[in-house]
Amino acid sequence: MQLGHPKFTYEKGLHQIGNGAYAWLQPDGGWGWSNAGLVVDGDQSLLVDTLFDVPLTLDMLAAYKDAEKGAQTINTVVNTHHNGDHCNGNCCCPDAQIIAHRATAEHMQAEPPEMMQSFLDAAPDLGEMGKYFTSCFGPFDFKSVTQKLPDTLIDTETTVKVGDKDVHLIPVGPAHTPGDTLAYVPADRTVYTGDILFIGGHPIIWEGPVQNWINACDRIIDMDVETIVPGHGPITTKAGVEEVRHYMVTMRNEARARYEAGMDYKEAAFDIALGVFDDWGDRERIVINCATMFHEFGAQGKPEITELFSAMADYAAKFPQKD
Amino acid sequence: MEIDATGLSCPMPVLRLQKALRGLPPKARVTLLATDPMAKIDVPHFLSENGHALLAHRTQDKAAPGGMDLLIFEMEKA
Repeated sequence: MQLGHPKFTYEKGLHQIGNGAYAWLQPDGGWGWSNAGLVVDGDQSLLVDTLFDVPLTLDMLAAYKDAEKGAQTINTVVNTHHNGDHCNGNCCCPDAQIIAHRATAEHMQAEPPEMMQSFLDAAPDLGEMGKYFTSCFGPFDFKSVTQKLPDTLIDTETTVKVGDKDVHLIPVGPAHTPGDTLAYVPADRTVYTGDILFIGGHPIIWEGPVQNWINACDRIIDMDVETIVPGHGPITTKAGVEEVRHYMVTMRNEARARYEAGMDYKEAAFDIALGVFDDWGDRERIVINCATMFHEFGAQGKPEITELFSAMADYAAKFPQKD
Repeated sequence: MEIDATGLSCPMPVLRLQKALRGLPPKARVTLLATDPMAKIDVPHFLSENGHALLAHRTQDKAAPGGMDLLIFEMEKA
């Protein structure tokens, strides 16, 4: 099924939504290749997310400046969640107020860019897991990043102003991560969803519960929006949101049946037929998703990060992605 | 306190560490010895996720039994 919005191409760079709203897209939307947004009114501007490293973020900011007078200085940055591909570039906006959910700020501190760099440094000694990790994160320049944490924390739904426009910040986590937050701009009939939406790629359920994710999809479907900018993948419509919701319901059912049959999370991940989601990218994320869902169902503990990446490397080797 | 997790595969070093930290007071200092290279990722990740401080980590080449590299992590409980 074609899930991209028919008005927009899926090409790297700036996409004008209209009325001072923009999206910045990074195909193919795989590990670290995230989207971001810009909302402008008059001489005021707000970014929804920065990118994984400084060079990528500076390219984006240069394009925003070319496109909009109001984006010469970014006044406000909203981080939709704590993963580095949505906040590492905060340091490129030294004068901006940085707003995020309290849980996002806490987890940013716990997962600094130096940690990603240390993982990459260790990768050559780690066999297939190290190769897989490097294939995911090797293209990014973590050494360029000086972590800039949020200075304004939200706990509940909050509205901020960009010129005369309202931007509603709507916490919907924990789902993908503990602090997931949507940025809804009614005047532009646009919502920036962060990683509540992966379009054309498998979502990663780092946190759960899945029901929160389903509720977040329902919340988006109920909005008066024409344009939906996901965290990864092409700009989409409500049909894209319905598909992500369908994924969550389907995978929860598939995982639960295998949990109740006594499988472990890895057996379940390798056993689930992906069906209509088979051509979505990064299929090995089913491993993380099963681990998180099994924990939600009552399994003791969560696997360590190297166990998850080793299992994903095994999955990717066993079920290579078709082009 | 020193925890010897040499010869153990991940996630055992982290599980040993987790168990040991549970019984210690805040600010207690612990040294973990390991040989599985995966510990270079798992130990710092575990400490950071749980608010503990990694004070230092170093590798002594071929210093562990069997000629394996010895990984030494020094940490402080939150």
